[in-house]
Amino acid sequence: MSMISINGLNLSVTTGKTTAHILKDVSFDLEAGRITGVAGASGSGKTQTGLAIMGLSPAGAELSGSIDFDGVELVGMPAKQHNRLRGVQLSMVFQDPASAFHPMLTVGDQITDHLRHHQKMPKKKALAKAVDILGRTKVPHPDEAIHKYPHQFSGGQLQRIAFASAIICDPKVLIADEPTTALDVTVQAGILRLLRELCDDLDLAVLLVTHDFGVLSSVADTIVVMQNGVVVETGDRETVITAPEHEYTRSLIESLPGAEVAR
Amino acid sequence: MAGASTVPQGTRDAAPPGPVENDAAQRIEPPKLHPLLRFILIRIGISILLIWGVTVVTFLLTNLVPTDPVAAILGDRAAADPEIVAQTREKLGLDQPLIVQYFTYLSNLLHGDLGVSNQTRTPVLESIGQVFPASIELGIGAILISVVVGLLLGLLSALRQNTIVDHAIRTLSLIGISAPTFWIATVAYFVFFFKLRVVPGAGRLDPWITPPPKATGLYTVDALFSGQMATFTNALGHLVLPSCVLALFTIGLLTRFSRSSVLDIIRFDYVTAAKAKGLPTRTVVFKYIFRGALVPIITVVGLAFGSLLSGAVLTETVFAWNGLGQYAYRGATTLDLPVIMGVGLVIGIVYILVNFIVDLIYGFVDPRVRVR
Amino acid sequence: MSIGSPKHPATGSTRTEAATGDPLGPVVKRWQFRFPKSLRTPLGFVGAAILVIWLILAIFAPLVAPFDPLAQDFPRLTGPGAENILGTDTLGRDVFSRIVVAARTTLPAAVFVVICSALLGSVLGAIAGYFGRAVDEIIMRIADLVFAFPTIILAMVIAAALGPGLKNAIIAILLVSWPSYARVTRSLVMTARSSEYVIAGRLLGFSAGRSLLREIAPNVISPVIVLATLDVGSAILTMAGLSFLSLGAVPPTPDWGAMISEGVSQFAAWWIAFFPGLCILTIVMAFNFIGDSLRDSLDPHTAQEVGETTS
Repeated sequence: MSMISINGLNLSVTTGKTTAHILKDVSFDLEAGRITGVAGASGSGKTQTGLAIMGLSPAGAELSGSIDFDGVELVGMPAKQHNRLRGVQLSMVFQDPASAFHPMLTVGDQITDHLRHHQKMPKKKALAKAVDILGRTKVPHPDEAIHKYPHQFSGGQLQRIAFASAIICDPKVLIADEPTTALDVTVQAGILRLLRELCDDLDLAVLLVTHDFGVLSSVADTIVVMQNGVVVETGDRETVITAPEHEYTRSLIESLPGAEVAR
Repeated sequence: MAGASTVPQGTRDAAPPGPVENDAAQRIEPPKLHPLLRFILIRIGISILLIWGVTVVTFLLTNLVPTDPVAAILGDRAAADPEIVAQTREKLGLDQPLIVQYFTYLSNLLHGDLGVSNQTRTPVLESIGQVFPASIELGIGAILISVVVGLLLGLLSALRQNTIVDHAIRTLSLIGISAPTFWIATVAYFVFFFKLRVVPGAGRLDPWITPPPKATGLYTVDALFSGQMATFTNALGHLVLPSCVLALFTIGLLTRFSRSSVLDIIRFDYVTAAKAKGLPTRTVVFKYIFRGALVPIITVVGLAFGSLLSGAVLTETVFAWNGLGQYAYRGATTLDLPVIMGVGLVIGIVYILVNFIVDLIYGFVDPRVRVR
Repeated sequence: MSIGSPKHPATGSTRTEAATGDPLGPVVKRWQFRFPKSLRTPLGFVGAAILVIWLILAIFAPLVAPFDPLAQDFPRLTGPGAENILGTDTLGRDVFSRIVVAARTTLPAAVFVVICSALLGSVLGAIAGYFGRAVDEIIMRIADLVFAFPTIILAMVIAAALGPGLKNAIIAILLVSWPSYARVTRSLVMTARSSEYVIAGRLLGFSAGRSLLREIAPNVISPVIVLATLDVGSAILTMAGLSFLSLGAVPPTPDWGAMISEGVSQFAAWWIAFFPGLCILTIVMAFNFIGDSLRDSLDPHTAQEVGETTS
């Protein structure tokens, strides 16, 4: 049973007089405890798929098709109802951790405000839980970290804090939008390992969006390849990498360093 | 002003609202002073240099201009007598080299001597001291109105971008900054006092009411302190129309600025991140968007204060508001140079100080300046 | 790229991916500054229409004005009526004729002063930005000093020192308004100077002067034009303020600011102050509408640069 089942999803965005068709008949599933990686070039619609699940499609967007979340239909869901799922059951981690945190609010404030809002948890208790979770995502000195501001952390640490913020309300789905792209190469592997651990331990259904096929080949269980808003290939990591069917997938694999050697 | 060369540009040029990447150069350089202290010291240095510059400007303007100050003081008949002219020149120190004259001028300033009005023969500083509180009262009223109204309109306009509300607010704010304040004052006074009688007449109090005992010089505050409620309401009533009129221009300014500031902020990931946490709109708007937009807006409030001062010089006369503006107006219309220069100097200094305070607030509000 | 490149949720992709195109891209993009198109917004159109009406009124003022603006031929303080459509002033002069004739001095004077200060300011700013170091310091510290005064206050002080008169008022406004151009030009020149395409030009052996003129100038011209358009409005406002303080055009020359000043104490004769003020409002509004529409056609970063200094 899939946690999220996307079926025939279409998205078009109208700005002024022009309408852009961003997603065309997209279908794939997210399973609990598995990482589903979506690969594709910029503009292929991979990020918009994630935002559609979150209900954060841009202004002027029109969605059709179906996103089934554990038996609940997300497409066409009233904004208020969707807002009650966001942060609680559906959570998200962004590309650039430096811009995903408000520079003027403490980290502790920002990773607990949804907890306090959704679960009406008092501030002290929420901060205690934050320290706990920060330890879990391996942020050094969590008890000090909650009182610090984002600019006092490195990018890798901030991304760990972002993961803490994402899992603090025990969500079922985690959407990670290019979580390693803005980071130093040296810390990327650590973040991916963290993602894997969280996915396994918390039984999360993870959607990992990236343009880096190398990232997918190391952590994803299932790989979805998108091109121009269309899903061109879906399958197990092994199958997709060893026996790609679509030409675009093949070109992505060939662009990996060391690919020629492997042939 | 080569001395300012080591001083970085003002915060207005530098720190934008968004997240800042770790700057390698900042890390290598070991911080000797606490960053906030360093920031404050730099701002103090800049302010002092600017104030010094202002004295140079007023000095040069009084001394390097074609009008002969001696003739202005003596009047036509005495100025025709070369001996009297020479004596006066000597008495005024005008036979000294310019640099000596400047230091005399500067030392006079430091002793509180801004010269004597050509018209009334009263010391300029004394007169300014008497009228200053009236302008401060008006200025505070106007800045409060314009900050509250301007920020809310700007926020509303940005959140409703490209809707009718947005277009209406943008158009109105453009019209607001297009109207000459002294004309708006005249029209408003005519309509609300002369025709509708909904506001009290000119001045700071009705003529039959005695001013409250002087403590701060602000009638509303003084009346409150001495418990004279009738005087307080009267003074407040008199304050309403002038401060609203004066605020119009700055409302336009702040609306436009806060709109663009909020629009800048909305694009940041932290706003999407806040929405992705399922926070209610109210929290996203005020805790995340507005807080981020506030930083650049704070610096503009200082600038807005400058236009308020300019507006005050032109509008106080209309409302017979006995403040710095009316004093300057009288000085200008009678070409009373010491008065004009004195007012220019004082307003320049006040403006610099206000911007200094604004920079300090900015430093305290933004943790990227405050903590490292 | 620490600040200017937040990831837009709608586009999704990173800027770095998008920016790997043609290094000559920025030149073409910034130079896209089509007047007619950028004025096609409703505000721009209204502004242009008002401006055209005013230009016609000013050019044909002698034909439009029914009477001699200086002749004291009528009963004093007559309200708007059949003969004097906007009434008469305290000396029995026709208000309508005076208003129309005043446009003939105000408009050219404002445009003239703005052109002069735009030239002066952008040349100084370009020099400061291009040469940097001591030259930059001296010019920009002087600019800071001018910014240390509220505009009208400094203009008032200068005009008072020089003595009343239109010429001195123009000099005063010129002296207070050049720094905003210097700031904008300086920062644009500095950005352009370190940008890839200018460095590429220098690597190809183009001289400093050539790169300044050919590569940088196109980037600087459009923001300066926008700033200047907005500035005509503030020049008119400052000029009106100075004549309100009797530091502008000398009586009996018809002048809007002076007319309002005359009407302030005349509550029974509201028309004396009301109509000149309406003239100032409409014409400043026209320039602001046009300038605002033009600014929207600039790229966002430059537009912000322009916006900040005009506020």
